[in-house]
Amino acid sequence: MMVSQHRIDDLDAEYAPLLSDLQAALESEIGPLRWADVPAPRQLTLIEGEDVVRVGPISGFGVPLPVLDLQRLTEVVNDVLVKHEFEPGDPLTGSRTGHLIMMTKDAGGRRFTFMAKVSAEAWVDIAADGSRLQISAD
Amino acid sequence: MLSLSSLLTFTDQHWNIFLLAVDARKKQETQAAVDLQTAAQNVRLAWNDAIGQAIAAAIERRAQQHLEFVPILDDVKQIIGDATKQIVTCKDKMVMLIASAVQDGITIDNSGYAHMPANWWQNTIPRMWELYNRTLQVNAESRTLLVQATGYDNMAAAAIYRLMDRELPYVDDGPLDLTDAGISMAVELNSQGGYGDCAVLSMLLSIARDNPDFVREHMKWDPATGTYQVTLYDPNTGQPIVVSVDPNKLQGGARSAGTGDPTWLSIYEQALRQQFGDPAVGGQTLTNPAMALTGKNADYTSNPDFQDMRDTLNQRPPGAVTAGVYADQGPGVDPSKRLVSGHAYSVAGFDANGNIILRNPWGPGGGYIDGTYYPGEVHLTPAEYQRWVGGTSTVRQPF
Repeated sequence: MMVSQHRIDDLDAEYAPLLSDLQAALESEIGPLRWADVPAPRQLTLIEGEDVVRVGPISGFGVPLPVLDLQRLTEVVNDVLVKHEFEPGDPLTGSRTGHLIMMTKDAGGRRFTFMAKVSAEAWVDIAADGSRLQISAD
Repeated sequence: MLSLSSLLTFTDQHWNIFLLAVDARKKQETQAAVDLQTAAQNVRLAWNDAIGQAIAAAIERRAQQHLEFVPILDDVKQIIGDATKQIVTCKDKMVMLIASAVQDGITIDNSGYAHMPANWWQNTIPRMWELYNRTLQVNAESRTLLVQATGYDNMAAAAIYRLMDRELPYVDDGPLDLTDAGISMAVELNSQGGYGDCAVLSMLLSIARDNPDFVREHMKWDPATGTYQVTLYDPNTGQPIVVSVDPNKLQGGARSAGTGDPTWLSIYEQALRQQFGDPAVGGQTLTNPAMALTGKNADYTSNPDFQDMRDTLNQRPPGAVTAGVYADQGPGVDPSKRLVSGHAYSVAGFDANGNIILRNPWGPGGGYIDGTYYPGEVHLTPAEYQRWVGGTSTVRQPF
């Protein structure tokens, strides 16, 4: 289903502050990072077939990967998530592709994703039909 | 693509000869219109019947055509003037970038790619990492400036060709940088995305490392459809298969670690996924990636001959070698030699001490798994290689 531009703008207004806060927190904790321009919020169909509105991603390059304190980084991300009424995510430990990945959701089933390797990226996906999105732990 | 030296030697005098030619052409066109209008007026007065009036009207139409060309010339002049200003701006920014990079010992080659200081490894780890990231940043900025300057240069060239009533020669590699330097830098800075396709990605990195022609021959831009036509091979028969990839529909795959932008590797990876399935959901079951990429089977061994490995990599164009790590290395391994188990690496060559250089397709910065950091590049002695690398795949030229 097509989501109206008005609705997309509302979702952006709701979730962009989370990403801004996270950007500031990451810059303070693991910066300086080189931040790319944030794309406009938009509707897209993911490879998995989900139809979503995506707010973000924020993308900061130059993550000091070998010297990260993963526990501290997890806390930093979770502090921002809790402030914006998302559930805290599981500890960042890595993945089969080398990325540090965290996925979690808010009470409305909106999905937050954080990924870090050479760049740190984060975005929020909202189901186009208003349903609750799944995360792998669900 | 403009080279760094051609940008640095560019001055606003470069296009002046064409601006003078545009001015001269404008005068010619205006004068021709005036002459024709005068002639039309004379005919109209001297030949006052239907035929005379028709001839006068025809001459006036020709005069009008000359006049209509004048604003086009003004456009061309404006385009060349604007392009010149923009190229000079790019040049000034590049000069500042070089001056700033030099302070960190970072150099920029003639293709605009930045290189770490020669003694970078003699620094502390935080400083090494800072230099690494600074190099990536300089790299991204200098390439962006060259791409921008090239765009303005092409714009001016197109305007001049238009003035000469000539079509531009057909050169279109699509939106990605498929120059030798662009292909090579995409290999050096490749960062594996979210797909579990390390085996095929490593083989692709090994094939293309010193063989940009392979990429250009197997990946053609089709401007009519806005897609890349990627030639893969049937893994069973070796027959070519052409796959169309829309660069606007890439999601979650390999990217440049420097900019986060898609590269030719992203397109190739997408072609493989379209043809053979998504490795993230267990669909891609390529047991011999070399066959799918080159149409030729790789030799596989658990007991590699290192001289044969050198010979393969020293072929021109080079062959390709990948290393499969199957088991954990066990406790107490030097962190700089950590290898991810269940993972494939690209063999990039031998260092000055005769150690084998393995590149992790995760990217130059490495990554984490189970809370442990694994580097992006590992140098192993032959003994270490034999102890920790379970299988070696080799594909030799010709392919």
